[in-house]
Amino acid sequence: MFEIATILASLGLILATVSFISGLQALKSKGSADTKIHRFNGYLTLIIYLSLAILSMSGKDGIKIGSVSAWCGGLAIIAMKIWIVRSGRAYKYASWMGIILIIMWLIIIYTNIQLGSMSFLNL
Amino acid sequence: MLTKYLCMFFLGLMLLVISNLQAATIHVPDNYKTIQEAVKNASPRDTIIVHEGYYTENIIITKPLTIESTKGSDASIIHAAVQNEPVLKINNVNEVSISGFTVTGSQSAGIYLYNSHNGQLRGNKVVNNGSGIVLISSNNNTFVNNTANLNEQYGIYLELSNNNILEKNIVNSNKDKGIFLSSSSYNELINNNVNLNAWNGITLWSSHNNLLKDNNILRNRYGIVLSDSNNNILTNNSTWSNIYAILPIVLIYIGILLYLVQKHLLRFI
Repeated sequence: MFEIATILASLGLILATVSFISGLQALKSKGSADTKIHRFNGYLTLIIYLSLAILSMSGKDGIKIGSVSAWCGGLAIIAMKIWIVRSGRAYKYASWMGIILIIMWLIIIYTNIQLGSMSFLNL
Repeated sequence: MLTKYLCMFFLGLMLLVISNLQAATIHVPDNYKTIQEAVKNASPRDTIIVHEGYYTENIIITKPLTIESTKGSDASIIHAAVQNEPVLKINNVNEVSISGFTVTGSQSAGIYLYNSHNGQLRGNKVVNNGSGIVLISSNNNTFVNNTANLNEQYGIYLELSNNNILEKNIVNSNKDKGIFLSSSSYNELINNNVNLNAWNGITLWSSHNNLLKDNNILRNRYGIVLSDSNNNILTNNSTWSNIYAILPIVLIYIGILLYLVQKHLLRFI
């Protein structure tokens, strides 16, 4: 019924949600179980993101500049979020970055809902 | 006796010549530079082979012809020269076959069939026109593997047209309706993808005894709309208009539940 990209994108949004909530909780209580949950789900989300990017670019439409820019932009947002957390500014900016990441996953979901032979936005 | 055999021989020879004449193949741009010129000079039942290229013209077909591209729709593009005329107009003729073209740039229609029957459209991309494929009073035509996307009005429009078969077509992102049957009956719509159209996916208006089977009709404003239409058979069509609104909410909810499960699991470890 669903294409593999739809399943991966759905899994990505679920894990991004887990990572977002646990990240917010981890800000309140450092060194807790939430940090482990946040990291574990965060890295899984990153792997899914990269898999989706590879799937998208190895599709029948081939590599498009728009598609590559969009996926690289998303990767830059993820990298920026990791950099903000590691540079100790998590308390100030991480929640915003988390919201941006959730929005990014919503866009990925919209682009990957199965549509017969066509994918919305053709990303 | 000899006269009889001679008569039969000449009759056979004449038939052979006639059949050869009927099977003539014309190449564009080798024999004629434009498709319209080739159509004008072709005899009924000739085949016109169009090689790759960008052809700016409006073509009117009034005789039974087969028009094919050599390298498919991406390589053979017909763009309207006069924008308020159809790119391809098939007018009062039976058994016209057109395959493998991109048809674009008309504010009227990409492919327009008027009072034309038993025709075939295969593997054409009819994009960025007023409407994609328009049939008026045309019966027993077959449309397979065509794409009618991004048109200003309808993807495929049938009016007073009966017994047509629309199979495995893609009708996406049209700015009004996807497939519209108006006063058209006994048509078969099978295994088409009709998605992301601004209004209805498939509309039946005053159309009866049509078969809609195995169609994917996703993310249109409304999936299938029947108005003043009776005895239509709808089987195994997917019409998930609102999945794009529901799915993310469900996934976020599952995410919250998964967080709670993971947190409780970590307590036990």
